[in-house]
Amino acid sequence: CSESFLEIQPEQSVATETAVTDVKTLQTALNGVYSKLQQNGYYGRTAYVIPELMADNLFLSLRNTGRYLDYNNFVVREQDSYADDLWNAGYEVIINASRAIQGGEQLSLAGDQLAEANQMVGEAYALRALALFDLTRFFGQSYNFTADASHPGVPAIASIGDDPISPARNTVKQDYDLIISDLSKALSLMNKQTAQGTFSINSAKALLSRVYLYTEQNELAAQYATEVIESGRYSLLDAASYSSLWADDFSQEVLFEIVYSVVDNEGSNSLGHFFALAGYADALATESLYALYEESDSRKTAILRTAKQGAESNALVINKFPEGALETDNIKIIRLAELYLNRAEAYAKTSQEALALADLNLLAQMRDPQAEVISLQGEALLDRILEERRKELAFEGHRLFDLSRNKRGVTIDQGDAVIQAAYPNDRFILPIPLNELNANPNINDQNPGY
Amino acid sequence: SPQALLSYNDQVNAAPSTTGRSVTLSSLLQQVEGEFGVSFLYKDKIGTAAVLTDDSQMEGRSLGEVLKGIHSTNPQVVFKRIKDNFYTVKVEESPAAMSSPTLMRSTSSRAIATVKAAREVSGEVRTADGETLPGVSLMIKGTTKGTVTDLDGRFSLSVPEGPVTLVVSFVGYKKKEIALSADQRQVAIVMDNDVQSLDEVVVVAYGEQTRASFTGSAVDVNMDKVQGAPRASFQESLQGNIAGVQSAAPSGQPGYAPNIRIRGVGSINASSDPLYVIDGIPVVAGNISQIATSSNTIAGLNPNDIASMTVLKDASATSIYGSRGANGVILITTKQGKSGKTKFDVSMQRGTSQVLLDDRNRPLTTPELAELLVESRVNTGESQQLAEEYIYSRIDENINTNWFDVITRDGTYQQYYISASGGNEKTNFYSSIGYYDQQAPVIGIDYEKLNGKVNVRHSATDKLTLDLGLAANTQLLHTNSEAGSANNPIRSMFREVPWEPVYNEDGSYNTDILLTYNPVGLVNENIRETKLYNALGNVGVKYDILNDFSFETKASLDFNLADEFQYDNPYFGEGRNDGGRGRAYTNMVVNWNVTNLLKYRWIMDDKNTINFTLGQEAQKISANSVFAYASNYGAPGLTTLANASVKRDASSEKTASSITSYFLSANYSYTDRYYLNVTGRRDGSSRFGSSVRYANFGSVGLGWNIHKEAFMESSWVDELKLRASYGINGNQGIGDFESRGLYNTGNDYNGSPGYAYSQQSNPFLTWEKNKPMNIGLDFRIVKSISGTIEYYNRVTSDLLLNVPISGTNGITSYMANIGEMQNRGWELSLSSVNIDQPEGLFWSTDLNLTTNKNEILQLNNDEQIIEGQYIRREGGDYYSFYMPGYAGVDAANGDALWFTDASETETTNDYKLADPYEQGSALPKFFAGLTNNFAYKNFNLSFLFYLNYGNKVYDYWGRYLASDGSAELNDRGNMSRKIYDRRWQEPGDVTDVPKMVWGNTQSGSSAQHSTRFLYDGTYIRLRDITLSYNLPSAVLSKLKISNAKIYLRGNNVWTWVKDKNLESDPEVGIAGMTDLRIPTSRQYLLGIDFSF
Repeated sequence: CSESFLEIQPEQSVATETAVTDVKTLQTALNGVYSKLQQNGYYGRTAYVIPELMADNLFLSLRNTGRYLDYNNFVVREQDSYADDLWNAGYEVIINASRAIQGGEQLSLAGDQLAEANQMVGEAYALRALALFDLTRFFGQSYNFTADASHPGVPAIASIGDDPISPARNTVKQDYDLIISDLSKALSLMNKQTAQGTFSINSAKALLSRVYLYTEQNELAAQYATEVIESGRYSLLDAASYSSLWADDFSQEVLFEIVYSVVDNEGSNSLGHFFALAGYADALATESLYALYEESDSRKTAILRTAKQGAESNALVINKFPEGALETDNIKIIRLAELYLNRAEAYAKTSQEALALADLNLLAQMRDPQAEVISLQGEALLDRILEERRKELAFEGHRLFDLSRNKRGVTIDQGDAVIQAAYPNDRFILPIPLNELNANPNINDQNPGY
Repeated sequence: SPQALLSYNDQVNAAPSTTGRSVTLSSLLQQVEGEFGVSFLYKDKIGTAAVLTDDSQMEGRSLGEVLKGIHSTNPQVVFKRIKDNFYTVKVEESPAAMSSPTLMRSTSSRAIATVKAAREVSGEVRTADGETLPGVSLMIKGTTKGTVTDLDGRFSLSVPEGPVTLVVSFVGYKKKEIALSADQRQVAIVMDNDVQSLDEVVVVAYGEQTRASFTGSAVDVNMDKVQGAPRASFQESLQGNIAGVQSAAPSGQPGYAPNIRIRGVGSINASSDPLYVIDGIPVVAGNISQIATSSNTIAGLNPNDIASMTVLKDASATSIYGSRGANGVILITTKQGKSGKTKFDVSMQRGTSQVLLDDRNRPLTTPELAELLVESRVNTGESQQLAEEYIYSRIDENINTNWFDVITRDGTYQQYYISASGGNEKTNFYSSIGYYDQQAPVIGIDYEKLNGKVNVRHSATDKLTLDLGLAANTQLLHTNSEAGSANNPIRSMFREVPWEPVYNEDGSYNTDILLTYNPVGLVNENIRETKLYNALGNVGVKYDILNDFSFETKASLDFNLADEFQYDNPYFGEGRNDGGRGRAYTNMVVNWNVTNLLKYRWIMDDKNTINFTLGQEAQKISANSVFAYASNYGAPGLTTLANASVKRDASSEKTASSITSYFLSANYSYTDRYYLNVTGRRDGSSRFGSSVRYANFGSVGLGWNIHKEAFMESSWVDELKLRASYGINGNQGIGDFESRGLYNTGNDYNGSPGYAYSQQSNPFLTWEKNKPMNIGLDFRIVKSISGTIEYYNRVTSDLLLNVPISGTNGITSYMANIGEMQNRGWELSLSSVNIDQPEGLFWSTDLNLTTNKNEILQLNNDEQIIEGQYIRREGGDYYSFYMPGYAGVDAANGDALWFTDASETETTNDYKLADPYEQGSALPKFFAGLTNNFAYKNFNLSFLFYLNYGNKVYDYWGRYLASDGSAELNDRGNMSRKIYDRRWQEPGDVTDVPKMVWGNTQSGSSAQHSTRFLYDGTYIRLRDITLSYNLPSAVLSKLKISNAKIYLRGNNVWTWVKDKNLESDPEVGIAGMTDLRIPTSRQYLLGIDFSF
């Protein structure tokens, strides 16, 4: 037999080294990065559910499928598969983004093609920042946990070589420095102001605003929020049209959402299936959250009080994913409302209370025309901003972080029972997955408490 | 006597030496027989043919040279070796030979003339397998009169008036006495194999060999034990019948692929399955299906079509298969026709089956489960009355569904087989069709198989033989999902609460259970169908260039197609939210193979002989799959994708691999005492990088027939042979492109194509190497006890290991050649004829026993690999369980306790504080099979006990059945009977089941893996029992059939389980893990086999 008899090429794969060779393949590689966000171990479910379940917005129905039960019960262990999946999914985004960046930066292009490639490389930077930000906040304590943020964060990947790596953990400070530098790089490369289903200049700025809020660089948080708000490309929906925010794709209020179509079939593992009454309706809204909404608050329509068959006769079912078990709801990552809340919080923390109240009241009035005008000060104002943030961003994966980064204790509401977890708390963050500890000799220490 | 119709050395004494230059062939052959102790079989008419000879012909020459000499002086005389020291002789038609008919005719008339006062008895002699036997000696008892059977196994003999007894004998078969009544003129005689003997011919790689000359370890499978079994595949019948072969059923699904491990688990991430070779073709084996969790392409082969099956175990036997021989080889030869009258064989079977489940494991009833839940609330401090009110107001006490009865049923089984075989001297054929149908004892699960087979062999000339084989079969399976899938009816059977009905009052399905996955509804309304098609065709040519020099070539095509369809109805279950779903899959696997062989037998002198085989082989396997998915169905009953409005997904995939090889094997023998076998093979595989693509394999084997030595003469030892072998073979059983750095397509986003990094490249990835050492002793003593003792030690190095890497690489593992693993142990096979009274009681016993110790010698940087509930570490075995140790229940408060660590000195009631540690292995310390066979007159009783000793079984889903109240009123919250019987109820209760607690988190969490669910897997099973009755010859001759047998057969009739806490059947597959699969069942069948 000739040598060619043994030369067989794969038909469903391409060699790593030829993955990015032109603008077209760069786009294909970049799409791969976005697709990694869709996994149910990441934004497809886990990143939305855990921070709400481990706090006071969600709890598991007494008739549940067992998903996230340990989070509900606040007894997560280092073998936990959701933590494992989240870790791996985060790094899949980081590695694929890094490979797209490296491939894209090696192309020699000019003119329109260069601009197109720059936009894509910029998006890859933004995606890498988003994933590193998520990993840092899930697996490391909040930025202000130590005075200089010198407590352990997660490993960061700057470049890709030929051999497998085993990086050590960065400090949280190093992680945030890299997140901010990636986002800055993204801003310098991108040229799309807005985009549907992908990163744009404005959505990168919005993420930067959130990142600065987490690092307590409040002026910068406010500055980037302002840039987005004043870009004029987005507007808040009023109470009458609030429901379209969830019913429609690419609403005027959303800066970045992950697109799910009928072919991205996560099936019964999707977020919609997890929440919908026609699906599992595993997690329900807490009464304490529901009670916060006035009857006239349009956001109250995002929760339906109904009976769940064979379980709670009076269940609060989440209605932010109206397609539900059809599994085709796009998942919102950044909305304009968050930027008002970011800015209000940043103003409040920098003693610009009037500006803070203006943003707060604007949002509250938009959602509920009958809302009373808020005029609080000091700690009470911050509390009220965080409460509005809870009401606005409920079930969207913010609650645990909003509490812990403000050094607040967390009420883990389990429906029947309640666990009060005081700040600081080892268990506000996830364990480094046991598989990672086993495979990576440079990560020696588990997060305390696991 | 020289007057016999045929000549055979049992009947003739050495004739005086011939001095003349022209003699008759028969006298020449007698001379050779006397000189070399060989036997010739030939038709009488040629015995009188004149041949040329000279006195020097035999002086100082070997048998081979003598035969060659005779042939070269008399080209019309052709010898053919049938087995050791046994040749047939033909004289080619030539004018010289044509003169003999006159002579023959006169001989015949003379024979008739001398026996006119007697009657003529004629008949046929066959083996138990139905093969006709030529050359069998038949003597009339008390006389010197007799005859031998002709080439078609037929004879005719004139006997004196009155009853007579025939003494029938043939080498390798038991001597038999047949009583003939005074008027009997027809008789059919069946010869039973003598105890296994070194004279046997075994099928080995690329040919056959006598057992005496074989230096390797190979076991011939007794086909009696495989044929007629009600099992879909021949592999399932290997269990308990062969030393060194572990066959474990992972599922009771008919048509599943059993886990076959020859001498232990040979690899960690590459395949541990043996290579299957059917008629010289390495075939595609295993599961090619997408829907069926276990299907088996070679289950399509009808066991009745198999003539012989050999399991090759050591280097000497398998190294010639090079890169594919590491896990042993199973060689299968299908049946060939015999020249003579066309023979028909028919077999019909019908049977029934039931799920095996002990009463102690039946699901709880409504009052029982309610009692547990009430108690769980009382244990949280609620009053009995309030607790009862709470529970009983939420359940319907009047309903008490027995979900076990709902899900199971009486299974049915039927099998039919008919074959026709025959031929003439030039051409023979074998053909058959078979039908198999089994309704499993679980609703919705069934299996059907239809197969056909044709083998034709044609001798175009004396030198040129053509072989043609064609087999086609189809299998149809209806299967279920396994494990935790909501579609799995077995999960519902144990987990669904008894107060939920199957149907609502209006007769509709109760879909308010199991997340709407009503198991009865799913079976009735959904489709889950797998059709497997297989066609195996081969063409072979053999050309005898010279007497001892031949060329063979063989080309084959092995075509496999899986055509599958899944439909989920729009009303409940998986398809409920999108109007019903349909999915269609096809997967085509085409395997072609070409083999060329040159065989040369070099007879140096009468003591030294070498057999050479030089070969070349090329194989390519390509697979091509298509998938389509649509939803939103319009009309009930119309389930094809054309009826669905939303086309959701479609894809096709292709993959391929190829191997090219060259090999040489040499067998040297010195007299018939010493044997040396050397093999070498060079393989190239497409699966590895170009720089490491080729590798060399080989083996050395030695054999010593001690019983042939002078010092062993006249001892009570009949046969004694020592064998040893060592060698290297390989394993390439990984994915087709594992060595490459890859981006995988299919990561699409927002309607645009996307791909993502999926595999780390490893250009130096190469073969996994396996080095087996084998020492064996074959013996036969006091005529009736024979056996084999073997020690083996196989070391696998350069393991193809999925090395876990940090998730920060974007992937979590890559494949590398790292690590070493060892399997070593003893194998013992014993066969004994305990009682053998002619025409009386016969009793024989076969025993085989295998020990295996698996040990991981080396892993990546000494790192242990923890995979689920297993730990892989250096010094440990491959299937070592790893989990916290369960320490029972605190008698004071009913809390579950776990040991804090491996020292088992301290306990804790906080599961988080319990460290996992090693808990024993899923691999048995030994397993054994014991078969007893009794025969009396026409009755035969045989039964096989299988013993599996010293392994652990983990009940993976036991955590859900032991929810201890944590599941509350969840409709999938039924608990096991053990919980009900043994739970802690009040202080002082000493038990191993904790107290019931409503919303329990202390125990009963599904995350709490521990030895609470780990059991001793030791069991003994009466796996096979058959009672048969052979119809007497008087009846047979009336019915005009040659033999007929009626039998009653039972499978898994009785089981003893050591660990009475085990909540499932102990037979769970090689990994020792239950997975809510179709349970094992007990089967009974009635069958009839007959030939005419």
